Amino acid sequence: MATLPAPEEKILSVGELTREIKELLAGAFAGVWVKGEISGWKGPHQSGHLYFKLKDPSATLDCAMFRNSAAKLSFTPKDGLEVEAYGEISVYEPRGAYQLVIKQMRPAGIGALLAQLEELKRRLAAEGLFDAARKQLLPRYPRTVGVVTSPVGAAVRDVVKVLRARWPGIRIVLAPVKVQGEGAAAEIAAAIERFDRWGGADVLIVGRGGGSIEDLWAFNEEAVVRAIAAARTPIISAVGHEVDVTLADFAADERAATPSNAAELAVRDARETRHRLETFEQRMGSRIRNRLERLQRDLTAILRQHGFRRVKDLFIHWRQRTDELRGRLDLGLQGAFETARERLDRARSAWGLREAVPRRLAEARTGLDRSRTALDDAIVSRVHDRRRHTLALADRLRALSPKLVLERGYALVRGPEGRFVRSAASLAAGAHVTLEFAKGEADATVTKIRSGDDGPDGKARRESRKGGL
Amino acid sequence: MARAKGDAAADAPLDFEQSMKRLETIVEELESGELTLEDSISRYEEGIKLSRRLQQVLDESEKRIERLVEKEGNAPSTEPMELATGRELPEGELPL
Repeated sequence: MATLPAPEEKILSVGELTREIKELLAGAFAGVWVKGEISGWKGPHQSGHLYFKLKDPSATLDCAMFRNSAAKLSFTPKDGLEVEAYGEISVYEPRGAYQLVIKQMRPAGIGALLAQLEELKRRLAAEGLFDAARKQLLPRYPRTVGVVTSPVGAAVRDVVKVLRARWPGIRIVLAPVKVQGEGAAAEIAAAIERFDRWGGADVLIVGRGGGSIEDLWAFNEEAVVRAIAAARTPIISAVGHEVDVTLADFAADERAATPSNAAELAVRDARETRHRLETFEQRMGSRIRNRLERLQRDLTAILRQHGFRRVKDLFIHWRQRTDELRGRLDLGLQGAFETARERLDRARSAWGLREAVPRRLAEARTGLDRSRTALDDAIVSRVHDRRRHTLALADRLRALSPKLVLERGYALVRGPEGRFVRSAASLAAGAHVTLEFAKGEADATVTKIRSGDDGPDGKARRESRKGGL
Repeated sequence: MARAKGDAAADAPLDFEQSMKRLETIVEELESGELTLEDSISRYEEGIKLSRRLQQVLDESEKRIERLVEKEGNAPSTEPMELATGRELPEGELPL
C-alpha cells in the first residue's frame, strides 16, 4: 500500500480542518436565498429554536432558525410547504455538519407577489390615489355606519359590539362579503360601490380580522384600492392587526389598527357627548340667570330712585341717548340751514330780495322746533315700549327657570302655611305638605324629620358630629 | 313594532352634527355678552330645546342589524338580518 509523502507540518488536526472548512463556507455563503420544501418539521424546540430540513428532489439541507428570527415568521411552517429562506451557512464543529442558519423565511412565491405589490403601490401612488389631499374627514356624529366584511368571524362581532357600546342608537348596515380567496376583491369593491350608490351610510368600515399575508391579500388588490379611493362615503380601513398594512390602508380616509379600533374611530362615546350637553346647559343657564339678576337689580334701582311720577325722568339713561340723537339732528339741520342760507344769499345778491331772507330763516327755525318735539315724543314712546318689553321678558324667564328645573325631576315642597320649605327643620312630623311637580301637585304627610345642615350653624354641627365619631 | 319605531327615528330630521355646532355657537354667543336681552333669552330657549333633542337621540338604542341589498334593476336598499354568530352575541352581552 503506497502512501503519499506528507511533511509533518502540513498535517492538520480534524479540528483545524473543520475550522478551515467553516471559515471557507461562512465566507462563501454569508447571505444566500434558497428555495425548498420543508421536511422533518417537529415544531419549535423547547428553547424556541427551530430545527428542520429543506429538500428538493436532488438534495437535503439541514436548517436552524433561532428563536428571535422564528418569532418574526408570518406563517406556520409545516412539512411539504415550499418556502424561500434567507440565511448563512454555518458549520457545527462537534458533528462536522453544516447547516443553513435562517434569518428570514416566507412561503415560496410571496417574493414575486411582494414585488408586484410594490409595483402596484408605486403606480397607484403616482396616480395620486394615496394623496393626503384626497382624504375625507370622518363625520363627527354619524347616524349610520356601513360595514363591509365577512358576516362570520370575530371582526364583525367586534365592530358591532364596540359601536353599540359607544353609541347605542347607531344604525348598522352590513354588506356581507368574502374577504379572502377567489373573487373576494371583486365582492369587496362592489360592496363599497353599492354603499356609495345607496348613500345612506355616513361612514364605512372596510376590513377583516387577522390572518396570513395571503389571507389579507384581497385588500392589496387594485379593484379594492380603487373602490376605496373613489368612494364618496368616508372609509375607515381595518385589515388584520396593527402590524398588517395593505394598500387599502393607504387609500382609506383613516386607517384603524384593528376592526374594534375602527368602530372606536367611527362613533363617539355617547356618555361623553351627554356630559358635554349637560355642561352646555349649565353654561347657558348661569349666563341667563346672571343677566336676569342684573336686570332685576337695575329695574329696582330705577324704580326706587324716581318713582312713577314722570315717565321722562324715570329712564335717566335714555336721556343721554335723547341728547345724543338731538345733537345729531341739530348738526344735520344746521348743514341744511347753511346750504339754504348760501342759496338765499346768492338769490338776494342776484335779485335783491332782502325781506325774504328773515322769513325763510324763521320758517326753518319753526321746522327745527317741530322736529325736536316729534323726536322727544318718539323717544318717550320708545322708552314705554322698551319697559313693557323688558318686563314681559323677565316674566317669561322667571316662568321658564323653575319649570325647567322641575322638568328634570325636582319638586317644590310647600308647607302647611303655603310657604316653600327650604329646611327640614321648619317642619314637624305629621305636617301636611304639598309637592309641586312639573305637571300637577300631590299632598303628603311628613313622617320623620332628619335635621339638615343648611342652617347658619350647619358647618359647626357637621364638625361636631365628625368629632363624635 | 321595532320596525315602526326604527322608521320613525330614521324620519326625524335631526342632524346631530349641525345641531351640536349650532348649540356650541349659542353657548359662545351667550357667553360673549354681546346679545341683547331679548336675543339672549330666545337663544337660551333654542339652546335648551336643542340640547334636549340631542339627549333624546342619545337615549335611543338600536338592536337590529341591516343588510345592504341590491336587487336586479332596483336601487340599493336594506333589509333586517341576523348575524350568523347570533348565539355568540346574546343581547345581554350588549351594553345597551
